[in-house]
Amino acid sequence: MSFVNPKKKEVQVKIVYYGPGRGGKTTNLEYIYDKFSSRIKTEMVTIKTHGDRTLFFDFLPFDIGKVNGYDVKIQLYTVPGQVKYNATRRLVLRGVDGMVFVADAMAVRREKNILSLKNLQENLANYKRSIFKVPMVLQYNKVDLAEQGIPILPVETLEQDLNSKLKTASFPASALMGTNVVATLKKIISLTMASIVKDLK
Amino acid sequence: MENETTGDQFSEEVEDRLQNLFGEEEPSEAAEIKSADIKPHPLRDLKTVILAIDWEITDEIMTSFVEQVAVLQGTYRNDKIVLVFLQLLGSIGEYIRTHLGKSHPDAFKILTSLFTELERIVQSEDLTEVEKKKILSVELGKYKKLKNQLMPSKAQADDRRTVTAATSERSPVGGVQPEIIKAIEDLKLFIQQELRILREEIKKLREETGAGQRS
Repeated sequence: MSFVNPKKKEVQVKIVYYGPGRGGKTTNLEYIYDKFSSRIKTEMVTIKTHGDRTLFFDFLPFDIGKVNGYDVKIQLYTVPGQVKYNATRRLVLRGVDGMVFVADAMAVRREKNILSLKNLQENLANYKRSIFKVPMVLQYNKVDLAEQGIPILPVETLEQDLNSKLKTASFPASALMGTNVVATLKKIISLTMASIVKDLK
Repeated sequence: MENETTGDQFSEEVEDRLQNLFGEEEPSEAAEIKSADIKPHPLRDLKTVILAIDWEITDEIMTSFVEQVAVLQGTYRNDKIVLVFLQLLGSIGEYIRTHLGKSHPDAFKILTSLFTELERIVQSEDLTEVEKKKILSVELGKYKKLKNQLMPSKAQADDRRTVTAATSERSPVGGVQPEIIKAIEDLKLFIQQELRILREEIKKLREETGAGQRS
């Protein structure tokens, strides 16, 4: 849950980028950091090993300024996508306020996306949280590969596979090129902030 | 947060903050992703396989990789530079196919680097032969470095196998199957490798932290 400090007039919002391995979670954060580092003025922490795989997690904190008189501090996290690191994924999910599910739009990854979303649901349930109640945005990454003739799932298929029950905002994107990376981020921050305020009422 | 503003005002305030932070510089955010103008990619099938290599590397995907490389070797048989790139890719692919998850951590990095540069060479019309050779030379250097790193560990593994075999011949451990001993040996090697990588990571982080504190 978000950390609200009424004394300091400060609120910390935790947003986690989740999804199958090599789907582009870290690339999302790297893009944001590279593009806006002069504005966000913080450091991105990342631990990689074994051919640039995320072993633990990436972490990118930044302030968005005052909202309703409160200083809003956003913390972006990614989880390792590898199946065997579920304990780390579960740990990162603790106290999550908002989620971005980064799906891999490549046709060969269809099953991995579905399994990863299921894994997210299970891991949230471990904290007695419902996937339907945590603010979430879906991102269908790597759609730019279609330009190279690489088989990509149609957005309709991705929507049916991943969003038929969630019915949340979704963006086709290219994290590598930055397409819809910021749109995804802005949407999840807006949804999460609205949810926090609703919960506090 | 207290309910000092209405929902709409609050949303506007959030939007405003986000616009300040992420506005203007948003590159082609509004641009729709085109899928109509599909250009034929000469390495399309190989690229599809490379992009499909998951963290849990499977024999199936690596077999498909090696097959794709072989097909391209036929297509580019008259282009020496591309052919060398494909031979290097084929060699690393075979190595990963044999060792799968136990492959050297740099093997996958070099495989992707080789492919990226090969893609650049095949797609670019501006690169001269000299420039292409220069790129190949850099990649060849990386490949040789990896090969050298693999040599001692291979020799060590062979030594270990000899010792294990000799030991089991002399005194078979009460009912323990040799394949179990081998599996334990492999596991030991894997753990040692993981620990070495973690040590390197910690060292690197310490150095970075130290550098950060100094600056």
